[in-house]
Amino acid sequence: MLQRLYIHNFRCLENFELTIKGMPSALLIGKNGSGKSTIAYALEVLQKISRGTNRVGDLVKQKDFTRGRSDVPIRFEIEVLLQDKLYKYILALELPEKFKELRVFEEQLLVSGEPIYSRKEAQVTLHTSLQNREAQFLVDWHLVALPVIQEQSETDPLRIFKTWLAHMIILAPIPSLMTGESNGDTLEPKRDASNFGEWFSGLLSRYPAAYTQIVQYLLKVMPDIKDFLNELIGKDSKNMIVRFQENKANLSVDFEALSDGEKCFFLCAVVLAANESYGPLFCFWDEPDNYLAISEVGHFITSLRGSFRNVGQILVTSHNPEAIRKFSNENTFVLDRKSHLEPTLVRLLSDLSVQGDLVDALIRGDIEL
Amino acid sequence: MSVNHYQPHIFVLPEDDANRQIVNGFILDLNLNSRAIQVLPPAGGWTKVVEKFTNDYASTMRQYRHRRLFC
Repeated sequence: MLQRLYIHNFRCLENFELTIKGMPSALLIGKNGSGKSTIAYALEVLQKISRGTNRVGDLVKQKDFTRGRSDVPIRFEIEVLLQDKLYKYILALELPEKFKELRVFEEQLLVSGEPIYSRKEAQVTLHTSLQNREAQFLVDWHLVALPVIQEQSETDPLRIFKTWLAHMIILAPIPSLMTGESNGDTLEPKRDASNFGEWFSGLLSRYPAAYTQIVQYLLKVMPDIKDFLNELIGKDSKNMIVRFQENKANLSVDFEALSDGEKCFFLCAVVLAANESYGPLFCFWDEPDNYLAISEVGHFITSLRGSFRNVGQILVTSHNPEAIRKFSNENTFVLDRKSHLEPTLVRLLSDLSVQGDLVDALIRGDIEL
Repeated sequence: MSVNHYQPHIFVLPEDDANRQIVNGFILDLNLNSRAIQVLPPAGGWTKVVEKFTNDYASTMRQYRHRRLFC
């Protein structure tokens, strides 16, 4: 469970703190440019680190400093509750004068307040723990240390944290890029869902029981679906085919030929099955209502909220009235920014006084912080 | 698929925003057939609930006999 996210000096996020402790699902609303998607980009930086990208230059660029203010470090802090222990990871990146590429200024991983490792520029200290004796070593200051420190076992806190981060699902899907073809498999979907085929293959090859869950969900939204196949089309390549049946008539359709909305149903089914199979997962879905019929939006959001209610956590953004109405004031965050020169502000909707209907107030543009 | 008009289903018409939020909590129950229930936008007061029921929903309830409305 993500408890707290703190971001400073990254794009429009200055001294920005999002606290979603105890919220299995939450919604971010706000005008265009208020910073909703930037939160996903910040989470993606941390996700990339856990997935093995550790060159700072591949994670953030000079243009990511708020208003080009490169004399102040970019800071990311994330606090996560995993197996009843609070993990806190801190990463600060700086760009000293005459440097072309950002470097690590500070890095630290703590579990329940005890440091696992800490770092100041190139100097890394691995603290004494059950797995390790205290050790100090140097790491190139253009590289983040988290992916390069050796995990000792399956129960190593380093591994638990990295696995959780790597499995984090950040989605802003572009259905036209979801072809259903795959070369290999993965449990690490991309933001645009362009590797959906690989994710689907990875999930089913490692957790075959997920098939039943996927079908169960799809049958609710597409009652004429019969089954789906992941056929071999080459040595390592597969292609998804969906079969429909009604009144004993059959139809096979390439996944690629499905509509954008139908592809999103498949994506939702896989998100839900993934959370059940190798969760608890954290999912950030930027505008999940995109591409959906208005009669589907509410059911779609309720399915996501319901499935993450007991396991995992989901954070979504939306401009859609139907999606917004499926959340309560206690788990809706309003983001606002006075101008492009000012930082993003965030407040819980229940802390604001909204006159009349929320959606009407949003249409009027009356909700400001 | 949205609610099946030819199977028993229920529309919930919340009187106001507070009622909408209560219903949101209710529909998250995993034992509920979420495809048999559809929550409508809040009416904005009891008078408007009656108005919407009379003008918009009563005729559709005659058309689809498995439809129920909860206000």
